[in-house]
Amino acid sequence: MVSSWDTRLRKVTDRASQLPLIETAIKKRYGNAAYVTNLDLATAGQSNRTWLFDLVESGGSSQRVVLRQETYQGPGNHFLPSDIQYQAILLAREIGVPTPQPFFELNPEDGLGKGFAMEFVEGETLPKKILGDSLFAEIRPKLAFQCGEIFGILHQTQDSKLDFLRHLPDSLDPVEAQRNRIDEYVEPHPALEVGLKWLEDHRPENTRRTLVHGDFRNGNLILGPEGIRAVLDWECCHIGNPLEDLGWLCTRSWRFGQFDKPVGGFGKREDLFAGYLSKNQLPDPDEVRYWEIFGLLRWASINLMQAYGHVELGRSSVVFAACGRNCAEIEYDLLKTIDGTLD
Amino acid sequence: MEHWIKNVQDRPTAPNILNTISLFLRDLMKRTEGNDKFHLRVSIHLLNIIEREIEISSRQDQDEQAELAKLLGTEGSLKELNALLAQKIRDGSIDYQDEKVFQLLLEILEDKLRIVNPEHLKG
Repeated sequence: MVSSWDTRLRKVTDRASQLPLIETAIKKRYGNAAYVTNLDLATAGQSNRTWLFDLVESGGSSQRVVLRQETYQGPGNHFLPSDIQYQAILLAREIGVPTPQPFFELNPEDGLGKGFAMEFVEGETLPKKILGDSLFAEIRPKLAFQCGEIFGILHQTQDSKLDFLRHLPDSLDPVEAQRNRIDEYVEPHPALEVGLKWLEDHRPENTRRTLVHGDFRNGNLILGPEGIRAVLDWECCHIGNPLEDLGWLCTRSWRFGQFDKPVGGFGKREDLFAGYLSKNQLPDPDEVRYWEIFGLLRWASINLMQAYGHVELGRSSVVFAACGRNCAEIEYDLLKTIDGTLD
Repeated sequence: MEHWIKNVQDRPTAPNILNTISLFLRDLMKRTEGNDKFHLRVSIHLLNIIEREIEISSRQDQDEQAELAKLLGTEGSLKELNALLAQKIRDGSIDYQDEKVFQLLLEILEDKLRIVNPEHLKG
């Protein structure tokens, strides 16, 4: 089953065809003398295609720009439309969370699909480098605390500013949202059903609801030797239990092999909680564990989506193919974490 | 998958061909960077999965099918049995906390991991 948009999407990976469109979009907004150079396709993200280019303005000043385009558009989509992402980034900046400066949103006349342009923030995002490179040796033990501080700020966002997220499935009921998505991918996974049941049976009593980033983890942070420069990838944000964010950061799949350092593979939960307490209230560790288990289920569901896109929607890629086969590992960790064998 | 095992083709065998391709890609990886290098790494990972799958999956599938049929007390294809078990866990007619069910699911996942990522079982 290959629908028309898939064919379109496959075509747009063509760099030569995109350059003139991007340049026109830039001239429209920055004047006729502005132009685009050094256009690169960044390593494919899970949900958004990311172009990088230098925007040279009439005065000769140049800056690196990131252009993110929506890609997955099939059933059971985990990712937000780009206009909501854009709004979330604006809000996050307003409340003091470090994010790249958004520049403009694409419109239909641009012919580039949906998406937006933002500032390129220099730094490291690769988890392996962040966990291994000596450049980060000094900051590494302090990162968990820093993450806690950022969450502490993020989770103070006024509820009145969150109307644009209220209708999202994840805002209404995060467990139900996963169950409905898993059904869309039409492949039975008994272990995920066990996970869903467990999550139903152990719902946290805490009913605090705030802005949740939804994908705050090692890999979505831009780091310098001094610490976190920017939080990326707002495509999963919603209104929810704030500890969902803390649990996701600690989810086993995001430790990149450093299992004794539950916070992103770089830190201890106590440090994360201390950082959180410095800006917000002390988190309940049992509830964070609940959201780690939720995180495993959700990560499995995202992988199923990518496999579904690869097999059924013509969204063919070795990476998405690998996602399908990655599920067993996540389900194994899910069951082993539920039964207490894994921390 | 049977025909690979029965050797109806001339040499080399399917696992040998996969191994040869993955060695070539490994060499190519040294000369590429960025996106291409990443996709090559993932491609090699997938070829390795298929190599192991050819080796062991048909035996595993039979085991899984037999175990599921025993648990559910009915016959069916592997997909049908998994769908039935998923549905029964969801509607509560099978208790997700039942030790027997939990252990069987873990064993099935361990079998899958022996193909997709044997390293993970050591962690």
